[in-house]
Amino acid sequence: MRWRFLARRLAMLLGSLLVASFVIFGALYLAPGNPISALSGGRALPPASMHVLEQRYHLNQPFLTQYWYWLDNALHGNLGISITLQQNVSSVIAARMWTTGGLVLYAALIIVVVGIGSGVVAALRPGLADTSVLVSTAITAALPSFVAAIVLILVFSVKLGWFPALGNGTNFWSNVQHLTLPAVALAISSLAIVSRVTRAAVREEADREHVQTAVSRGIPARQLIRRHILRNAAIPIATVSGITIASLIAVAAVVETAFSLNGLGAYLVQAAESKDLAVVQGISLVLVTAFVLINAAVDLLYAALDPRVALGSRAQ
Amino acid sequence: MSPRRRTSAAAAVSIAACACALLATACGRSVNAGTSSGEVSPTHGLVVTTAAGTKPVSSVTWAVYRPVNSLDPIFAFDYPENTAISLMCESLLLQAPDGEIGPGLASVATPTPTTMVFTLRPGVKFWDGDAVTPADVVYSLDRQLEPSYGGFYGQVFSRVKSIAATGSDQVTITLKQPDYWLEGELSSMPGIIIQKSYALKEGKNYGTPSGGIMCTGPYEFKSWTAGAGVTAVADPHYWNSAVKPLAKQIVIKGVPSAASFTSGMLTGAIQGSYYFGLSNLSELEHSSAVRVYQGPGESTDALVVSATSGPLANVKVRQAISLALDRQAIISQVYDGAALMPRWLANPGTFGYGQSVFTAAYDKAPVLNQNLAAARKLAKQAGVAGQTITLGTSSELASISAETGAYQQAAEAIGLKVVLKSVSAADYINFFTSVQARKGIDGFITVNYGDYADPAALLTTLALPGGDQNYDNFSNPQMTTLLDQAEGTANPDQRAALVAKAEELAARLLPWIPNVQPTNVLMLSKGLTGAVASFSYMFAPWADHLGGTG
Amino acid sequence: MSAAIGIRSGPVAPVRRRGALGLLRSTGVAGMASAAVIAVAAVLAIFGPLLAPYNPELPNLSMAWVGPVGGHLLGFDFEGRDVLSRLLAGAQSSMIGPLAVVAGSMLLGTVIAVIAAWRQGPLDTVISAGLDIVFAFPGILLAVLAAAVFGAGLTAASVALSIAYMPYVARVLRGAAMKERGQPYVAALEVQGASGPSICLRHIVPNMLPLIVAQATIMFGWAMVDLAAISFLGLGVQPPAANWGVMISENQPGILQGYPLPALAAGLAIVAVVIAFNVLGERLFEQAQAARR
Repeated sequence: MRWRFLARRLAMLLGSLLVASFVIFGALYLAPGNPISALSGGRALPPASMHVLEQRYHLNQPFLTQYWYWLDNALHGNLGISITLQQNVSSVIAARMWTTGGLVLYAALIIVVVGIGSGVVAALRPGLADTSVLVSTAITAALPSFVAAIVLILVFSVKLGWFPALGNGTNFWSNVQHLTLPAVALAISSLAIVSRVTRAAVREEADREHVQTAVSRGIPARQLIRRHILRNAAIPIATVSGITIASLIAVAAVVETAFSLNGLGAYLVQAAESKDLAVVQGISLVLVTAFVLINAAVDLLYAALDPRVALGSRAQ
Repeated sequence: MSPRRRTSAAAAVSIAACACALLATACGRSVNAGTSSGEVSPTHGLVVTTAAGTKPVSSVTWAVYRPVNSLDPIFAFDYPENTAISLMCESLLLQAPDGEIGPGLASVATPTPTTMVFTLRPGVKFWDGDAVTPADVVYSLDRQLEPSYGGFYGQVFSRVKSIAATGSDQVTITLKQPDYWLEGELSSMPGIIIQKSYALKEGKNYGTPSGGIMCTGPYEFKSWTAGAGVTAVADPHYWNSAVKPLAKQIVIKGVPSAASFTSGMLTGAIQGSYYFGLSNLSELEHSSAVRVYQGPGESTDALVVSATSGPLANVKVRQAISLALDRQAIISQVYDGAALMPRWLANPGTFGYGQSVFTAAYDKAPVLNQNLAAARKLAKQAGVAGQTITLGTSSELASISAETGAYQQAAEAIGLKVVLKSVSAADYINFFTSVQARKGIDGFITVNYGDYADPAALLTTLALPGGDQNYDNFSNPQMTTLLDQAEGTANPDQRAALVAKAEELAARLLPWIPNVQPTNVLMLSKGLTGAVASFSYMFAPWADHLGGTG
Repeated sequence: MSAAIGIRSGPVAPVRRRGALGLLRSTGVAGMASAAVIAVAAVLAIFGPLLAPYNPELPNLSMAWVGPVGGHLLGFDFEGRDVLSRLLAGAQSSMIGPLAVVAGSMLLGTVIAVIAAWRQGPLDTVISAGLDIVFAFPGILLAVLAAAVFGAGLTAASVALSIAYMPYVARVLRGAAMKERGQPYVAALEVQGASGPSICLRHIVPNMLPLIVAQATIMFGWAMVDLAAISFLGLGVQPPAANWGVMISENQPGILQGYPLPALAAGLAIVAVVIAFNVLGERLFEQAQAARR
């Protein structure tokens, strides 16, 4: 039944999160030296501060107890203190969440609109449209986001002056302006995959018998596309879109760094460079959770769209 | 052709076309298009203030090279912290933009060479309305000295015997020996006065985002968040009615990337800064959106020598590297012309007293020009060919990276091998504060400064045994005698003569290797004016007259 | 005996194996061109530092950002070093990391996939669940975590990426391994008394070789992109070492200042090699799929 499937997926989701959080927490112990030197990023701390760290992280307790405290705190929104900024990690995250969220959303929008759109066009209009889509996806599929970033900055910012090169905006509209090039850079290589899969899926559907029948019956093209082709092609399209959007979360860090945006990803990188482990753990937890949630949402969407899934847990 | 072939062929052609187009636009600098070489003359053409603002401005975003990490003056020894604290807090004595030291929150009298009596100005109060009392002054100074607090400035009070409140508006400092440097220090971070009751209440949290601060300045602390920066708002109840701040709000934001900073200034997202080491300063100078001013600098761009053994511990090797260093390239590539060729470790902008003595001695000193032949000869004498030195750097900080590159060049030119150890921008300051961070590092670049306009202010921190920036245990009896004597010399010209001799010695012994002398660069959005243009912004309020242009 | 069990005699393995050259030729013009590009890149990876005309790591600040002139075809970078030399020298670190990642993840993934496919049953379920969980960690995130814990560097990043890619490899190969497992010849071998490991090693894995090679090729492209990104972030290869990802981040300020060539040249190098691996990998994949039908 659908419920069984959902329950299984939910269990997998929680399991993934638990294991991921365990790995993120355990990283503290993998670090060379002792946990205190890892938490302080190798800085010399006065004894009072070291004592505070010991208390806060329950370093005198067994490993699993520490893990439990850490997880419990995390669930209540307390992710520790940033050694470099002397601030709560949660406030650091809250301040930067919107930039990353906005960026990923914007990029997702581009992927869905341009990626799916170009795939559909390419599938339904063979010839020049099809070839040009194929060619562009071939090129952009191999374009890493940071290379796309520098090319976009060069062409659209420096040469043409259409968009600002770096940094965040100050109000909503200037935010959108500042996030445009980064969103394009983020979306560009995923676009190719989504476009290709869409094209293949739509093509396959368009060749199906029931569509041919509908064509012979004289059903208008628009209705055809919507009701018959897209509905069935929706599953692989939705799946691949969902997966690529989930992967945006990690690559956002690269784009944020390239465009000097003050997002979660950029700060994660800076914290990793400064060995500010509490921040790295906190942001990693947030990002992995988001990633798992989006993947779970994709699975749910898949279940909703594909009636065959409801019938059994033979989905493996 | 099959569709597949056609696609592939089309793909190949378009890739090649794009590549060619991009590469074609990618021209580079031509070899001889250099920028100005550094002016050797000290303060010619530099300005100390900008015209006062006349219109109110709602908010000014001010950029510093990394986020502020403390608002407690005992921990303020770097540009971001100084900039934020000097905006909001005031010290016992005040440094004027031209370097002269005068009354601040108090005026000082010296009835005897070992007694300093500070009389508080009437009416000075904190933001919460409470008057500044001698108890606050004593507390503020005592916490600078208290070893368990770990403050940076304990050293400057080494000749102090006692600090006590001696009247309803008086504080007396009794010295073990005459100390003519203490006044300068008390016009800087060591002399910042904070409210005792507030600091006691906040304890360890004072000066952190959760604890805030309580000071007396025209700009009041409002908030401090990661990502947004430190926000200060104009205080309508400022005790000094002669100063009416025009900017309603100033936000001090950390911008580590020079490229982001430039972009921010050009688009107006950032309205002002004292950012230095900008290799594309001329881009800002030529922009109609920004006005660039250069004032006398007090900072020195140098290589801190932290090696206690190995090639850099040998004075001949340091002299050789100094002779091999291409300083003109640093001035044009790193500072885009906004720096001077050095003669001494001290920046000529620090001649805040005894100017005639200092200038005469300075003009006689040789400029540290490049001389590869002499460098190689010295290196051969020292016999260090093939040995390795390790330099600390940060690939995030473009100017530090580039200058470290210049040292790499110089070292390789005399036969040394160079290994680089790179840390993040936020961690670079650890080279200065942590013995652990300095382990194995022979040297690292700094743009360093003394607390007030006196060459001795910087020199003592690195050339005296026990100095808080003396990382290589440098100790020279002649140097120590000269500086100790200068500290106890009342007459400014005589003091200047002693300090000049110390500088000449430092230029020979090279406890640090001077690179260039930066001017103080101030950048303001078109439409803003009134910020202080000299280095005194690091120690004294700089935005009192900041406002819109008419 | 074989006739009694009903298996056709003849080659035990049902897939006809072609020589490498034949395989290459079947991938078409695009495939062969890509292979050529890859070959050049491989040569550079090995001999790059020797071929570099100038010292790739010695700065010369007075020549910073100067354009192509004299013997310097691509001009100078932000520290006055010859861009072409740095590109050639950088090929090594830019290609070795991905090689390690591919080797690691393919090895791990193949072993796990074959074990899961061979044993099936509960072990398979557990392994699949485990793979699902490792999927929760995007490669770049794991590499950043590794850099924070172990310090920035190519080793930590490569190991992290191998671990992150492994589930993907295992997933793809598990399906193929299961198909192989179900082939009649495997049952025959089992009956003949061959052990599980020997069947896997001698027959199943070799029959999956086209798929493995195709997967490895595509994966090399991804690993290159990811590792270059990590070096770009400052968490992989450290400057001043030459590396294409590092070159892009070091020279990025030049783009805004009107000197885009150093960063672009490095970017183009990455894109060219990645496209080559992608195209060849996809063609090989198609061949592998076709051969199995």
